[in-house]
Amino acid sequence: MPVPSPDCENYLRRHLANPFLVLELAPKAGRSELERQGAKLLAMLAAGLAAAGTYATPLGPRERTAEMVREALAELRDPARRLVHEWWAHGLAGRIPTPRRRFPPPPE
Amino acid sequence: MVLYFPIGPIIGLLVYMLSRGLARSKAETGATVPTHRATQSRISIGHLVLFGVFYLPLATIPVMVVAEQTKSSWPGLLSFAAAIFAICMGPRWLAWRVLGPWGLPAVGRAVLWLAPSFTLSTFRGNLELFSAAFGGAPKPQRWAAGPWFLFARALRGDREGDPERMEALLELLRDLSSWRLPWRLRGQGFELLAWPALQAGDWGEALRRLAHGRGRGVRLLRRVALAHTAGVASPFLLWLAWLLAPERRRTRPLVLAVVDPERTAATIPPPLAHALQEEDAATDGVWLRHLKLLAEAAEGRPVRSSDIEAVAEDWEETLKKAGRMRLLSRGAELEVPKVQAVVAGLRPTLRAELEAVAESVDGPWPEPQRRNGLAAEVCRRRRDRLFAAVQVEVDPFLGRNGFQRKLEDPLAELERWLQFRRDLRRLLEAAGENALPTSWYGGLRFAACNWPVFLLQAYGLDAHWACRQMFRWSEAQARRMGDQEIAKLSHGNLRQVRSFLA
Repeated sequence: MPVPSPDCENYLRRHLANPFLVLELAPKAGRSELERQGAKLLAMLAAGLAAAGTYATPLGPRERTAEMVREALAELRDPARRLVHEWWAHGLAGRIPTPRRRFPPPPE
Repeated sequence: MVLYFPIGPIIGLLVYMLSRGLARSKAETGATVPTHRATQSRISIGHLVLFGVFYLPLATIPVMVVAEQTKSSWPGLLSFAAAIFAICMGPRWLAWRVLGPWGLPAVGRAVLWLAPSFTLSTFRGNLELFSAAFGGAPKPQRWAAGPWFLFARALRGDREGDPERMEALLELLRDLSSWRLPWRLRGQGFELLAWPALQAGDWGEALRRLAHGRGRGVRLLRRVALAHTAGVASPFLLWLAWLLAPERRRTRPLVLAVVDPERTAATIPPPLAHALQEEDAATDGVWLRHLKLLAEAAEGRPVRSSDIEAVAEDWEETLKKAGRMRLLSRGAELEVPKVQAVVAGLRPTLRAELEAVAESVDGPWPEPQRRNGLAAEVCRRRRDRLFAAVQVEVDPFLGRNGFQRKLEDPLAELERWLQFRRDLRRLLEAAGENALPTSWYGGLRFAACNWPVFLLQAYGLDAHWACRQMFRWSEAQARRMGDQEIAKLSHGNLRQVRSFLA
């Protein structure tokens, strides 16, 4: 019987913290849309709204923190990292259990 | 007069044990290490005196009462035997089966402290395992490498989320007959190991932990776990096993959960769900299957080599020309500098993650057909890592200047040796039996034979039990390899340490 692998746990945590999953946006979302969504989530988290406290992943809901949102925004500002995150988000698109809409879409 | 017959030999035995209890051990090796030759006692002298001055006179009271009422000497002898049996077994039964499970660990420890124990290892081991099972801080100044402490550390490790120690113990139990364990461990020791898995609803794991146990309690728990995994259970036999087993109040909900599952659904946890479901595998993309493999390995569940191979092959398909071109064109849209290097970096990243998952493959992994494929690379690197893990432990025994490693405490050394054994077993499973001669004549023979010798010389009686298991294993491996020299040496060393009083 194998023992739990901390390496795998770290890899998994990193994949499930994919910025597009954390921000709950499609991989094709533009820069301004990402920033607006990030700002909204940060405001909701600061207000302590429970709806912003979790996000859906293919392996079930995960906790979302303000730190994760800021990190996601920072990751997506780097085009090389964004490319890789987009690739993973594309691959996982449609595998995430549809979350009920907990807050309105960002204004255009 | 009736007392002279049984008490005479008992006092003689006590004196004999005291006189022979101060023991020294020596074993043979080619190398020399600093030795710890202080004389150590394995006899619990305080308990021996307590037995002589308190328990033995106590046992004579019913004999005198019976002797006054009957003319025959047999009732007196029988009552003496019954009194000795009650004194030896009663306090431990009270502590282990009543006070501990009822949540009175402090009282249980006090009772165990007063229970007659003729060896120090039994005395300290009972107290330590009781604390690990029912609550209490670890006390020993030095962890002797014996079965009691091994069970205690495995239990504590399991509770604290460190499963390595449990795996080390289970590795030892793979080929150790439970008859070689102290009586309490043969039954209740295995029950204690299985309880956390039973409470979590991990019936498969509970069965694995109970596999080598003996006794009525183990039989009942095994039957309950089997009812959940195999789905076959006779209510009559289950209730009968429950009736015969100890701790009936604690095990009743488990039996009810099998016999009447609807009534007890809320109290018994559902079986643990595995992240990777067979039916999902066909429809999930490779991205999700990769994540599920990571999740399995992160939880410490075994991963099938065929799943890793399938995911690796799908990654290669995904990263082929069309997929790479899509990534490159998207990279150009995003104005990614050195986009080719970014895309080329995906394969090594995925390989590293699959390598981490491959650590959780337990069992043989035949060489994948495509020798240059990602799966073959992962498989080869896993073998290399297993070989390196074995070699790390072998290397200190190969130096010309003696043993080149500082020994840890005896129990840590035993756990380390068990991890080494586990790594070797996994290497042989991964690379086939041909790997054994390579490892054996590459230095494994020196490690197998000399490790227990160094341990015995450094720690004496604290490592005595562990060294017996190590010599036995070394002899078995040497015979498997036809290495008469090591087999003879290990056999001789085993004979020296085998005797209880030698």
